[in-house]
Amino acid sequence: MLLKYLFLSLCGVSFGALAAAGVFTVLVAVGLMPRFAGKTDTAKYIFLYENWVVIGTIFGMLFSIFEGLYPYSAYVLSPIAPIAKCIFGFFVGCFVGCLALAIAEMLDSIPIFARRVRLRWGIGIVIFMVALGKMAGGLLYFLAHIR
Amino acid sequence: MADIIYMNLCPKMQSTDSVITVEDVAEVEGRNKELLGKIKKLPVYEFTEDHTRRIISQLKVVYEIEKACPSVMIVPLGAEEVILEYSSNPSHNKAGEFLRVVLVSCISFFGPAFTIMAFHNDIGIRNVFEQISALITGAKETGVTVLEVSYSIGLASGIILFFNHIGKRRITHDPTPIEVSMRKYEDDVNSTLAETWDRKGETIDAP
Repeated sequence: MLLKYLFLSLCGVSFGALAAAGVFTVLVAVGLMPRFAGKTDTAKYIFLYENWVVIGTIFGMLFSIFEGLYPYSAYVLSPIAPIAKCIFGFFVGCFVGCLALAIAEMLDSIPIFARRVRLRWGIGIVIFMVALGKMAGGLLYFLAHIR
Repeated sequence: MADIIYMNLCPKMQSTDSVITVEDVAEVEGRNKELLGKIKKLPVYEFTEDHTRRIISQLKVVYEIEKACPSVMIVPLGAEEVILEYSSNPSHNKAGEFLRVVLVSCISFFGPAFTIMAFHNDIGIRNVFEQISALITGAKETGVTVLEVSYSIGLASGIILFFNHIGKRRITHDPTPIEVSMRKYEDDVNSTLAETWDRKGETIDAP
């Protein structure tokens, strides 16, 4: 039995390490962090941002693997539930929005499309419409209960 | 024989002085030290507006040097254009910077937390773990098992290894992946700026 558990834990460690490598290669490949740091002129804090990525991932992992932690987190967060939800929702939204567009951009979809339809000006309007469309789609999804 | 001057142009520079000299935009080296001193102080461009950006071609710098010292032979190395940014007092708005750092920190904390949770949901990690548990031990186990704990340890050490540092301590001497992509991103921005300005014909070139 001990041997089985030893094997099981070996499996677990390797699953974890590889899952981390997989998920984070995507994150780094789309280059979100450099953009955030570049746009806000805070490139010297890149180490801090990386630390937050690491801590955030560990938290996310703990809460999605160990359901036993929920009573504790609820104990801390339930008195400020609306604020906590707002904060979580807003920042996650920012991140996912950027990630979605960064992936689209990594595949050069916008430049290719703009070239096909011979778009000479108005890239800014297009991007704004993409953002509006995403927001409308998101709202529609949650309000109309699309499954 | 003409004096040979090697000139290494840097791709980008920020200045608080409106007059840009050769020394600001390039490293120059050569045998004739007296001449070098003179070249270093030659003006290349003068900004008339504060907080502006200009792109100066290699040729412009060569032209300015040759105009002042006709007998030199310049060997240009390094970048083909240099991006100049001039502001007489670069604003060090501490509060603004702090806010931006907090904003990016929050996004980089909550974003990956959500990503990993969504990923776990997506692959149905609890089912997978149950299956693997059953496969190895033969009994159906749910809740916290060895597998969950070791997976967590593996994931944590995986990302720390991947990002190559714990807090401020590096594990190896290599730059971290985000430092690498930061550098790449800066290079991309610089070359895009240079090419866009060049296409618009606004690069400051030799007449």
